[in-house]
Amino acid sequence: MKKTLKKLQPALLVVLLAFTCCQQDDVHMNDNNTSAKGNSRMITYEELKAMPKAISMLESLKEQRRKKSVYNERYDFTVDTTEIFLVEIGDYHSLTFTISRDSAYTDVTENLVLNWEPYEDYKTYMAEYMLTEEEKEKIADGEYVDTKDKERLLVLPEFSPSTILKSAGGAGEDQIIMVDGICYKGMWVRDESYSGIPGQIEKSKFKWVYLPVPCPEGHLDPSYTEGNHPGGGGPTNMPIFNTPYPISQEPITNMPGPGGYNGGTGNSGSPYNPIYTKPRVEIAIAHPRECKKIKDALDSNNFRQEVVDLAGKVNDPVNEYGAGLDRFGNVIPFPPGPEIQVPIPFGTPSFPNGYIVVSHTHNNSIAGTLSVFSIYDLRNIAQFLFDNHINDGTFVATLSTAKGTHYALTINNVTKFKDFFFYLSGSTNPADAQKILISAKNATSISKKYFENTTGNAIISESDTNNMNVLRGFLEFLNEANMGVSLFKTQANFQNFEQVSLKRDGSIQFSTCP
Amino acid sequence: MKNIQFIYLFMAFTILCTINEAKAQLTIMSPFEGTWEHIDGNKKFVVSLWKEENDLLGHYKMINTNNNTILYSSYKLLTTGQLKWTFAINTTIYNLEASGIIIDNSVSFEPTGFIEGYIRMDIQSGTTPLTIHWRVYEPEGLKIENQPDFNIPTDIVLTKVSNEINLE
Repeated sequence: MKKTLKKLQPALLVVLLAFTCCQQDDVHMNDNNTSAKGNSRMITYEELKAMPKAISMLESLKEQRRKKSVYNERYDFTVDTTEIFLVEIGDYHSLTFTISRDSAYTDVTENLVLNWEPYEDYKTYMAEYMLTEEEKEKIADGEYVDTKDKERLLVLPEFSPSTILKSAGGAGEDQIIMVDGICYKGMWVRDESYSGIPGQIEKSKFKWVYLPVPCPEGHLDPSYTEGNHPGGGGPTNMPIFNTPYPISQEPITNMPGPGGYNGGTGNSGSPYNPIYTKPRVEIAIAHPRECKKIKDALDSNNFRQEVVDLAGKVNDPVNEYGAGLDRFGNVIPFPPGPEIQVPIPFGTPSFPNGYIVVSHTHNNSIAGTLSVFSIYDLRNIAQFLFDNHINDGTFVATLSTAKGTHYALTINNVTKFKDFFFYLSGSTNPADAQKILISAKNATSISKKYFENTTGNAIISESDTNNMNVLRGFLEFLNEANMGVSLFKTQANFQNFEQVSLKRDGSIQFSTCP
Repeated sequence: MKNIQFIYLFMAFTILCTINEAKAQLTIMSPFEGTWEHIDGNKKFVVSLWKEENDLLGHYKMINTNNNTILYSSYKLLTTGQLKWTFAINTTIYNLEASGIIIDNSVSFEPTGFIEGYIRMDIQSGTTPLTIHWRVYEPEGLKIENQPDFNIPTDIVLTKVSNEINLE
């Protein structure tokens, strides 16, 4: 099924985009009268935990993000669960979450909306708004902003088999159906009772779900039937679905409800509940995966103490200091010197070894101190990566400088990092020649623009005493290089970390690691 | 009919002349562009510089003047064995200075076969023929164990010998 999903990725993306619904009667995005129709307020994660199905839905999305590369571009987001916008109208409600992505330059403000479907589950939507910085600030301050013609709501497809099969319609209670070569049978299972919001306690103790079962003997090859047509295309006893999600071209208000297709025909099933949401601006949160990398690396073999010790040596006027942690947990001190020479970690082809952490200092030298990583810090990290001397999935670099700055750096996208420094790959494959030349031109051009300061024209300078200015220049460099690196600011004790990135207006955004 | 053909011919000629004129106006040569040399005993260090858009790019080679053999040249094949380095010097011109990145691919350093550094070239005023002060710097940053030093000259004066370049 995963393979089929992958194959269908482009088509599904197109369909996803086609699910645009603007100003439907039952879709209320930023309706100023919402509060007159019901209650709306901000709730905390603690209150959210009283809604187990909402938590379950978030967990489901989280799992998809981890497991699926199908919708990588669209689904690689982080949902902020610290503050959630709740709208309660009558017996239903919606929850709106802010979303953050790796890209600091997304033009669209995105919200995840969970809309309660009575006695069933939440439906997930992506609300998108095209907002100016000024409008975002107003929304953050609680002011109303007219978002007419700047908003749209997308259905966020779910990939669970039960969701796929909800619209199977024709499948009877005992009938086995096949989706992408896997057989499922529908059955009633005891459902968890829903509580947390008065008046919305689930009535049924059971719910109808489809669970995977062994395919009966003699079932037809799924390739025999094409398309999303139950039972269509051939003499078979079981309906076969070859797409992972029933693709509806209907507007959201006409789409099948939990019990079946409504579509204005009066057929069985409930329509979707009205969707009430309001734009929520992104509240910066750090990338949890990269934060965890830092925590795990520094916790390993008490390496944090090594890094803290290094931070205490930054005022040496001659020498810089450094240390590494290899994948076997060995701490490797680097010989102090005016320049740090990083030893190649011992390893063999049978027992390859690589650094998990490389830590060093920028000391108080006469020539001046660079308060951020230098391009050649990154370049030689890349060289180590190409030479398999770095454990790429977990690698962390740390830096302490005589200017009082302390940073950690992770590689969030190894492919991008290697692409930027591809001219260091040492590739002997003739097919790579052009890629090497393009990478060399791009990397040297960006390096000279930001770092080469012999004529005083570089954007980043050792003589600049304004650390924030230098940090801003470094973040501009990371954005232009697009090398898949995350930067975190910390203190001399290396306990707490804030991811630093650039906002579109050029200001620096600090996002605290959880 | 002949008149119309003549008018077309005249118009085409006029357009071509205008393009050539515009081209001539745009190709103002930078004083950095051309071939530069530094002779030390029986060794001659030759630098070729040319402009590409806003970059001043270059190559270098070291020649044994006794037998006119090339000791090393940055215009060499990549590790892939196909295609040559398209540049080894990538600088930006700031008035009479040019600075940027230099790739020293004359060193022996596996697996890439090169190291990098910063380069600064200053045109020295009042010299005939023109001379530039060539300086190569080690960049600040982490180094890899056993990383070699530069093999190319790091502080010399080069004299301009031609406005043309020859990489071979």
